[in-house]
Amino acid sequence: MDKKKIFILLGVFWLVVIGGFIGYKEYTLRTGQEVLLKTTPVDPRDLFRGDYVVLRYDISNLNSPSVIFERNDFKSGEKVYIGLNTKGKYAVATGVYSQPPSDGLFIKGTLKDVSSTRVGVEYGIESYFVPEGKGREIERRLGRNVDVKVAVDSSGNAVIKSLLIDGQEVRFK
Amino acid sequence: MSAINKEQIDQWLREGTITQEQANKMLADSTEYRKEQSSNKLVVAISTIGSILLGIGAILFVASNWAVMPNLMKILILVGSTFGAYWAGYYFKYQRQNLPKVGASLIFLGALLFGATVFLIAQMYNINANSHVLVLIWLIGILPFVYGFSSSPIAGLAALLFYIWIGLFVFKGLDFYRAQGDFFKLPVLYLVSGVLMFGIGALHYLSEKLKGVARVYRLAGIKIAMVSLFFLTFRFFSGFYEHYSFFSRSLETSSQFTFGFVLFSILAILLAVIALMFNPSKSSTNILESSVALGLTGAALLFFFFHATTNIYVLLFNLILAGIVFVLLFVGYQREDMQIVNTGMFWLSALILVRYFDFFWDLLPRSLFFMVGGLILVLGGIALERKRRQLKAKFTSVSAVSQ
Repeated sequence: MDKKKIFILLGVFWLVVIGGFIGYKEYTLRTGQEVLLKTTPVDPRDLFRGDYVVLRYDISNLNSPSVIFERNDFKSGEKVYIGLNTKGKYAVATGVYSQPPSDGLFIKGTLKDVSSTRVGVEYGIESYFVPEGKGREIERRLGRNVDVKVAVDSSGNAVIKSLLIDGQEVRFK
Repeated sequence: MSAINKEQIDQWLREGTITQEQANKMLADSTEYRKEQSSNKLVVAISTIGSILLGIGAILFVASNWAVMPNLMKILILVGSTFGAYWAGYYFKYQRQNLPKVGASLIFLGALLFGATVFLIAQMYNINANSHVLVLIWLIGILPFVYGFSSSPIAGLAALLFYIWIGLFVFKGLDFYRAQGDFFKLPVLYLVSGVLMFGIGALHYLSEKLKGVARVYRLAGIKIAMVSLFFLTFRFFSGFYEHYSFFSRSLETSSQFTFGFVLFSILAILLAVIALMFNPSKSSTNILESSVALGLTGAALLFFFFHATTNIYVLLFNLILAGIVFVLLFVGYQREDMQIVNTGMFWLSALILVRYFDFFWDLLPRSLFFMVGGLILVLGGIALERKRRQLKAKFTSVSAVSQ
């Protein structure tokens, strides 16, 4: 194959990778159901790291029996699906499953700290990027009510839409 | 091709193989060739450094997370500069063919900017900062360029990303204090991944045009394996702890770590056996190289699955590192490969230095410890440098004759 063909093919390949990556996230943002997640208080020393805010949610740590555990032999690193009840202001976890639940909204996550009655779950939405230096500003407002608006698609993928402090979307200028 | 040295030309002249006129011509051509080579190296060095600086600048620009621009504009800037560098690289190297070295550096810059674009998009969608997936996408994105353009610098970048990805993948979703077993076993995972990379490099010798890439992979494999072995010579990583307790956690490894380790070990063994049987690199020291690869994987498996109640593994890995150093020196000498000789000499010095600290720190008075240590370093350094120069001169003159 001559170099010109290779050049064009590889350029197209890059466009596909970049476009696919954007498309995958845009699909979740545009088709996903919007839910509000309550963030749990985080030690301020841990919250701001570099140019992003570390987020922890109420649904990041789940306890049995308040949340149904489909099995009691879950392992760290395992992919799980968390059933969500969205009737109230905030989405709350209802169960931990190894397969997508047949009905209702669910969010996909990875188990990180497992015991027989408690699991920690990471959803891939634990970082919120802020402009350089603005993390401190958020840190100062920490004592207040911090929520995160998230889009969750039909496969359980989640993307952060916005960060809310006292119900107001945070916007940076 | 390599330059012919003056001594060789004088010898041919004395023997009557060539005339004085031919000798003058050869000497002039040889000098010209050396100048050209030196200039080429300078161009490559300057343009590569320039590309790396531009790449770092672009990545830092992304990292500064400039807020005033809309997302679309940010993407257009980075995608535009990525494809701009890529196109300019292609234009200079293949279309116009007037600046091939600069062109290669610009294609390499494109590969760096592609990574910056991936990280920018991740930042826009608030994807977790330490996600292994991002490094994997970068790696997958640049891998076809290694083969499409037989690019050695991109092969080096791919090897580096592969190692970074391993580290991030192992700890995905794990906090440090819950993943201590994985942390302590990390060097042994990197050891087998180094052996695996060495095997992958050997396979690339099957293609004539990928020889440069094959060498990059093999050197990357040797380097990471040596670093890992060095860590394993310390009791901290390979020793026995009778009452280990840190946050009351055990030293068990996670299932994802064990799976990755076993998978890499199987692949490393498979490739070492293939190399042993078919010798794709046509190496004169193939049996030794493949046997060492198999032996290292075997030692890693032994250490991973059979816990000792003594510090036997510390001793074992020290012996293995010393053995590998001599294998490197031997293979480097046999193949007249200065880079391998240098690697061997570097690790020989490192091993002597740390073991000197280990054994004599408590035994000698401090003043004597530092004086003897300093003397060993100075004399050792002189001896190693002298030997290195002798070998380099020997290899150069042999390669000149063989051309």
